[in-house]
Order: sequence, then C-alpha cells, then structure tokens
Amino acid sequence: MPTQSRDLALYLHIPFCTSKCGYCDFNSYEGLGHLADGYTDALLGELDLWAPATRDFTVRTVFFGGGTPSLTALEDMRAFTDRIRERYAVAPDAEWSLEANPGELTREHLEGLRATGINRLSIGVQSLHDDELTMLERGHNAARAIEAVRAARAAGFDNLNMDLIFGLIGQPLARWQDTLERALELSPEHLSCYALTVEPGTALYYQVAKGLLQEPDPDVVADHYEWTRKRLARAGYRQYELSNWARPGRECRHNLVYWHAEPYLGLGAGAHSFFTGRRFANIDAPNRYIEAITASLEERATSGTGTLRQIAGGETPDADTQRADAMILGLRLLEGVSSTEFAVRFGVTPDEAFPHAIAKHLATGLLTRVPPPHGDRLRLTPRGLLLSNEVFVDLLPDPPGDER
Amino acid sequence: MDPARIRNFSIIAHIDHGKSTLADRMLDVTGTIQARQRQDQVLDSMDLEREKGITIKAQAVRMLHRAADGLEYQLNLIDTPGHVDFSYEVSRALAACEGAILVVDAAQGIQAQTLANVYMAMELDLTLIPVVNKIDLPSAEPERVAQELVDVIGFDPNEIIFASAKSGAGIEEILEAIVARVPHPRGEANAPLRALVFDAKYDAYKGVLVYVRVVDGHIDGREPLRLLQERTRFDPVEVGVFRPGFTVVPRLEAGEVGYVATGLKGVNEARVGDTVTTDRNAATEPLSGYREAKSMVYAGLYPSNPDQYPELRDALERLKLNDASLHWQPESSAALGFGFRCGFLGLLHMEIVQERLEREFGLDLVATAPSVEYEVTRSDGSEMVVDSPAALPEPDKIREVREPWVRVNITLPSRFVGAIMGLIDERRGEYVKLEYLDHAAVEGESRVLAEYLVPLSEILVDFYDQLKSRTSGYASLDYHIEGYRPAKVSRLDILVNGDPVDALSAIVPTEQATERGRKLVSALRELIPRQLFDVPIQAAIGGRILARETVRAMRKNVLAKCYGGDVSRKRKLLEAQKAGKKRMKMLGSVEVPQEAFMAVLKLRD
Ligand SMILES: Nc1nc2c(ncn2[C@@H]2O[C@H](COP(=O)(O)OP(=O)(O)O)[C@@H](O)[C@H]2O)c(=O)[nH]1
Ligand code: SF4
Repeated sequence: MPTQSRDLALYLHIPFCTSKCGYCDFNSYEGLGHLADGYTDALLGELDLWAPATRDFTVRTVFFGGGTPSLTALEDMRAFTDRIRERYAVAPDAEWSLEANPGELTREHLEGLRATGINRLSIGVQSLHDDELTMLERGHNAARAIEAVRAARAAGFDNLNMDLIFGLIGQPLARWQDTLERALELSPEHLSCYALTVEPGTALYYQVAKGLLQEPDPDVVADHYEWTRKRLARAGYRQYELSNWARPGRECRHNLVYWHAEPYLGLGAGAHSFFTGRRFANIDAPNRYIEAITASLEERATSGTGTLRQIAGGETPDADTQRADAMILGLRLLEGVSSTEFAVRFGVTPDEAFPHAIAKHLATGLLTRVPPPHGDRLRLTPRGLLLSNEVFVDLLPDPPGDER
Repeated sequence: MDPARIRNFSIIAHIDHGKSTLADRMLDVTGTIQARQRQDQVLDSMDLEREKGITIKAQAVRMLHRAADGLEYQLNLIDTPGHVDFSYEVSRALAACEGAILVVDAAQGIQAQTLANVYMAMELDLTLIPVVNKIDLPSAEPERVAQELVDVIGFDPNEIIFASAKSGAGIEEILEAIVARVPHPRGEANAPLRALVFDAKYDAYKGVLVYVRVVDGHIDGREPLRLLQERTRFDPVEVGVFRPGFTVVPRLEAGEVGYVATGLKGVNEARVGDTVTTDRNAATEPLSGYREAKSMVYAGLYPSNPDQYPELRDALERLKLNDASLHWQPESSAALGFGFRCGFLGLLHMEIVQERLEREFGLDLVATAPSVEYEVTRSDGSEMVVDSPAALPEPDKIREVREPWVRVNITLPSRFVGAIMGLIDERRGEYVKLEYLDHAAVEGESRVLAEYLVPLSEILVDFYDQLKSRTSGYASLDYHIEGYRPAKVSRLDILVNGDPVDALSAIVPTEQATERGRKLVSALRELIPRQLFDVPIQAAIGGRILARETVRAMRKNVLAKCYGGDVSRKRKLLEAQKAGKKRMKMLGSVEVPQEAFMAVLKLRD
C-alpha cells in the first residue's frame, strides 16, 4: 500500500511572552514584541516551505505552543489556520490546541480563537495561590486564572487543559491540595501536573545556586505526586502519562504523537521535529530564525529548490537509539509499550532488545508486565513512575567510544 | 682543582625565606648565569615543586668566585629538598658539604623545620653561616631574629650576616664568608675512589645520572665503576659538572661535585647515600650513613577505570625510575578491583606521586585512606608487619600491636600553645617540653618551640591543616620517627548493605572505634547517593556493630516536563545520568562514588 496517507502532527512555536517566568527554560523571550510581524510572516513562510514534503500526510493534530501563543493577534491566528488548511491535508476531526496564559483570555479573544477553529485550550494556571504565582513570576493571579477558565467555557470551549505545578519550593502538601481541589471545581477535561524542576540557566536556578532558595525536597515532591495520583483517580481522571491526566477520551492527541514516537513537524523558532526518521530542530533565536526563513524562501523563489536554512541541527538516530527512544517515550505512558507493536516496528521484542535492563527492573520492581490478553505490555509500576529515569538510563545504548 | 680552593655548601631555609632568590643572586654575582638567560629561579625545576613551593629533588650548581684574597674559588652549591618527608635525602645532601648557609626571614624568625635541618647539619659537623634575609622588608625585625639565632642555636652575634636577596645587600659578604669560614674538602686524592651519591635522576638517553661528591680519589669517566652498597657495576657514559646546565668534564677530583651518567635503567639500582668506587682497586669501606628509604605511609592506589590497571603499573614503573623511595606491590580489593599497595615517605610524597600519576600519565585514581606500618606479635609469638587494614589478624590472634611514634617539633607564638595542647590531646600525643625562642621579645609576644610525642597515624590525616588553622597559620612543623610503642588498635570494618567493604576498613585506636565508626558511617551516608532500596551502612569491630545509618531508598528521579518534542535533549540528560553512574563503583548492587573511599580522611572536624 505505497500511497497510503500517513498521519502527521504539526507544532507551531510562538516564542513571545509578556515577561519571562523565573523557572522557565523554554525557548521564549520577553521584550521581543517588535519581531511579531516579521515572525508571523516567517512562520507562514515555513508552512509554505514544508508543504510539498508533506503531500502524503494527513494532519491530525495542530498545536500552537510557546512562549505564549495566546498573545498572537487574532488576525495572525486566522492567517496561520487558513494557511494550514490551504496547504495541508487536515483531517476534519483534527485536534487544534493552543497554549494560553490567563491574562490574554478575554471573552472577545476566546471567541475569536473559536472562530479560527481552535478546539482545545491549554491554560497555564500553575497555581491558585497568589503568593506562589508571584514566586513563579507569573503575570496573573488566581482570580484571573479562574475567570479565564470560566470565560473559555462561556466561549464554547469544551476541551480544556489546566497546567499546574506542584512541589513548589517550601510548598506544604496542604497548599498543593488546595490548588488542585479548586482546579477540580472547574472540571477541566485534562490536567497536566508537573513537579517544579530547577532548570540550569533559569532565574530560579541562580537563586538556588546562590543559596537564596532551596531546591524542593524530593521526598516531599514524591508525596505530592502520590497524593495527586490518588485524588485524580477518585475524581474520575485517568492518568495516561507521567504528568498528564484526562477524562476518558480527552487525552491530548498531539502529545501522544510524541510519546508514540510518530512523526511530527515543528515550525517556528527552536521547534523540534521528528520527520522521515530524522530528529532536528530549528534555530532558537527568533531574529535569526526569521532571517533564515527569508533566505530559504528567496532561494526557493529563484531556483525552485534549496536548503531549509532555519534548521539548526539534527541527528538520524541509529537502530539502537530508535529502539531506546521508543521505549523511553512509550514507558512514559501508563499503558506502557506493547511488545507486539514494538516487534512489528523494530523486528525484535523489547525483551530481545533490552534483555538486561528489563530483567533488572522487573526485579527492582520499577517495571511490570501486563500479560495477554490485555496486551502483552511492559509498563512502569506506580513506584516506577517516579523513578522512571532509573529505568530509562539502563535502556540507553552504550556509547561506542567517544564519538561526539 | 686544588681542594684548598673548593667550598661545598648548601642552604638551609624555611619555605619562602628566600633560599632560591639568594641562590639566584649568587649565580648572578659570580657570573655563572647571565641575567638574560635566567628563567626566574634556576634551582626549582619540576612543575609540582613550583606549585607546592618546595624542592623535592636535590640540585647542584658550580660557581667560580674571585675572592677578596684575589684567588679564584670553586663554590659548589647543593640544594636540599625542603620537606620532612625527604629528610633522608636532606641528610645526604648535607653530608656532601662542609658548610651551610642558614637563611632566616627577618620578619618570620626561625621555624621548626629549619631547626631540624640545623641540628642535622650540626650532627654532620657542617660549618653554619647564619644569614638574616629580607632586611629590606618594612616588617623586618633583624635584631630580634638575630637574637633568636644567638639564643636558640648559640651563634656569636658577630657571625650573623644581614642581607637582602632581593636588593643584593650582603651577598658579597656571604660569598666571602663561604670562602673564609667553610673548611675546604679534606679527602685523600690518592686513595681509592669514594664518592657520595646525594641524588639520582633518570635520563632516558644516559640512564641514571648520579649526583656525586667525590670524597677520596677521582673519577675519570673511563674506568668502570661500581656502587658499594647496591653492588651495581657500570661503565660511565659521561662525567660532568653543573654550570648550571650539565657540562661534560674529563675528571672529577677529590672534593669536587658533579654527576656521572651510569647507563643504569632505574634509580633503585643507584640509590641516594650509596658510595661510588672504581670496579678495580675498589674502596673497601663505604661512606657512612647509607640506608634504604623506608616507607612511612601506605595506601592503596586503584585505577578508577579497572581497564587502566596495566597503565597504572607502567606509570608506577616509570616513576620508580626516578624515585627510589616509592614502593609498591599488587593488591586487590573486592570493592576496587586490582591496584597497588604503595609505600611512601610521607603524606606529601604520597600526594606528589598521586598527582604525578594523574597529571603526567592521565590516570584517574582512587586512593584508599593512608595507613602506617604496625608491628604485630601474634598469639603464637610470631611477628609480622601490617600496613593495610585487611592484613590485621583477628583480635583473638593478636598478642600485641605496636605503632610508630614521632617526635613533633612545632614553633609558634606563645599565645597559641593552649590551642595546640588541645590538638595534641585529641591525637593521643604527649607533651615533652617547651622552649622560648626569644628571651628578649620586643613586642611582648614570644615564640616558642614545643616538643611532643605523637603516634604517626594521628598526624597522617589533617594534622598540619589543623595546626595551621588553630594558630592562624603561624605554626611550623617538623617530625622524626621516634620508635614503636604498644598500641591498642582494632580494625574498624564498614558494611554497606550488609557486606564488609575491604577498601573502607581502617585500623583505629580501640578506644576511639565507636566514635570514629559513627562519624564514618554518617559521612558515608552523605556521600552515598540514594539507591532504589534502603542501604544500611554499619561500622563494626570483629562482627560487633558500633554504629549504623541508613541511606533511604530514592523515591524520585523523573523528567517531569515534556519539552515539546525535544527527544534528543531528553536523551542527553539521561546520558549524563548514565555517565555519572558509570563513574561509580559497584559494591554488590550499591553504587558508590569514588569520594566515599576517601571519606576516612574527612572525619576529623
Ligand atoms: N623583600 C624581600 N623579599 C624577598 C627577599 N628574598 C626573597 N624574597 C621573596 O620571598 C619570596 C620567597 O623567596 P624564595 O627565594 O622563593 O624562597 P624559598 O622558598 O626559600 O626558595 C619570593 O617572593 C621572593 O621574591 C628579600 O631579601 N627581600
Ligand atoms: S509564559 Fe510560559 S513560556 Fe513564557 S516565560 Fe512563562 S513559563 Fe515560559
């Protein structure tokens, strides 16, 4: 069946934020608003550049991530969505997600977004305590966040995610419980609950390094997590990934593409792709990204072909690395990895590919087997969820000498 | 040259009191070295020596000096190693001389180590020329320091020369004093050759170069030679002197200083203190004072990557070519794999060897805690020596254990004596005596020379640092082996996850075992990362548990956030974790970082 259409996920990165949050190490910038127009043109241009290569694909999910995509003017959003529909084969039931910060979610803006076809919102709430929001250097307060969710409902969004962060520095369990309880009152379809990570290079990291703040106690964070799992199960949410819960059928289809190691194209500054077996990423800096796109477009216009200059670098994972990636990503999902599907894809079962690691972690109790008929799967145990890196590390291929 | 025109001397000085600067000055003044060809200090040559500010190997240089009497003299300066670990080498270098310049910093006064070398020089009958250096310093107190020299060593005030190696003041006077006061060599020019080896250095082309002082007879570079103690025979490759570079000469006469290239393959075939003689018509009596370098400190050295065992062995062999005092034998440890039990002259020697192995040979090493050598009488009356905890017999098989004690001399301002007493107490030491160095203290504070007896094992770890920190850096230290004394010691075993770890065992005083055990397990609890299961860490003597801590099972190690689709980055983070784990040693199923094996060194607070 050589001409059968394959599935594709599209990611569009909007790198602008009103202010940079203290813990954030995404490719996002404050104070670059003056680049917005040029950036919109570049992103539209990149959509054009990739269109020919995706002719055999059907786009099933589109995700606007950031940064803060909700800062994008409605007319630009309209331009993006129109361009995608024009140049790509988009499934009629496609998932169209957008990451939003509460600050921008006015009724008017929300209705405008609905009109462009966005049908899923992921709202960066993070906490429902004002002091914690201040500590995280977020630009909104709790009341605004709740209003934003209500407004989204009123505008007709019936597929909402709330992003929440637990294990904040010095946060007692009761405070996190309170945030989550109040979030549940808003009945989101989906919840992403992340443990705060102190990422190198962030403002938070320097505060920790200077001793002004203490890194969250891992045992306390583990307590938060375990409570969260129980509470959300009771509230009827199904945990389908390490940090993600959803009402049945409301899992984020776009993110599932990553974890299933299926192809996706990332467009925009610093966006990542996995396409035709290659993993690659665009240039991070928005101005340089814009220049590169402009150059690529000119080249294409004059010679009809050319290089994609916006791509900063990439790799073609070898067979061992592909298998490891598939396991490491797949085990993040609670359903785990199906031996049968893995074998179909790679020609060996996980047990054949990773005999030592799997035996070891079945013994350590971090991995378990779900026997047929439920699927002949390997998955992390409840304890393994929090210790997943211990398993993943053992799945990595040994570096053959030092090649980098 | 006529022995009456030769003067052999060395310089005794505490670190930084100006020995090298003074030597440079003398080279300048005598025109031995032109200012432009000088690369700062000529006499210190190894990198490590530079960094540590000490001389490890002896050096020598020949100068020609026209004295006030109008005659030209050959002055041979023999530089001595500057650390107690190398006191035997110091004694041989001094033994090659008839005189020594004693340099004391006008702002610092006499230091313990200087004094030790002064006494050594006196025992060897050297003529001492006291020099108060750095008189140009604003903080200099030349009169006070001169008085110390009079009071403590018994110099005549008229003997003392005031100098500044920096400005050049007093240098001529020093050179004159060498000619006038230091006796010329009095060997028998016609007796069979006897030359004292005061240093040996390996050269890849010419084999071992022995640095010698000809006592009787002469060396002509043609006759086959032999070493009396080692019984090594060799045909000299070349004979020369230090000008200051190696310069070939036809002959070395009685009284002269120079080198002989032996073609020998390692310095252990031609050791410091040995006597060079001719193969035929050999001297019968070796020069006195020869002894084999004796190791004082022992430790296991292991490659952190077990594959590097052969490299470590080769590197040790290479070092041994140039360092006869380094001893080692293969050893294996359940925890660390294959390595070597090494014997060192002292802690500094150990540190130097370790650093050279790492720097010059690119090895990554794990060293176990240093140990002294114990004498053990077994229950059946038989004797053994034990330099590693693993070799100590079970308690019921031991009748008596004896451990080495050292005599410790410390110079320090009197107000710190109390603080030092505390340190000596903690280290099981005994007070011997206290002497005031300056009876006429001007500023109201005197300096004292305090003497104690302390078990060597107690000064191995952190003693010097403690001494420095408790005296705001004012104390200086010297020690010599005193002898063996009975000791009540036990082997403290450490069990990780229930299994004893040989590389973590230590021999400790029985009465301190519980406390040491407690500190060690709590240090290890901090050093050993959390594993997937609880890891008990216990300290025990002969199966009796003295202390216990638990490294609680890890609960969280997760990459929470999904970075869009940045799978490569996620993999890199995991690869970094994996590399970290690889550097750990596996004790059973417990991953232990290499620093844990040095934990014992950090026990004292
Ligand atoms: N002011 C002054 N400084 C000196 C004098 N002699 C040496 N120094 C300095 O003291 C320090 C130690 O001298 P050095 O010769 O290296 O001491 P060594 O460790 O005994 O060889 C160096 O910084 C020298 O420049 C002197 O006469 N006057
Ligand atoms: S809004 Fe989001 S992307 Fe922007 S700085 Fe804050 S956390 Fe980062």
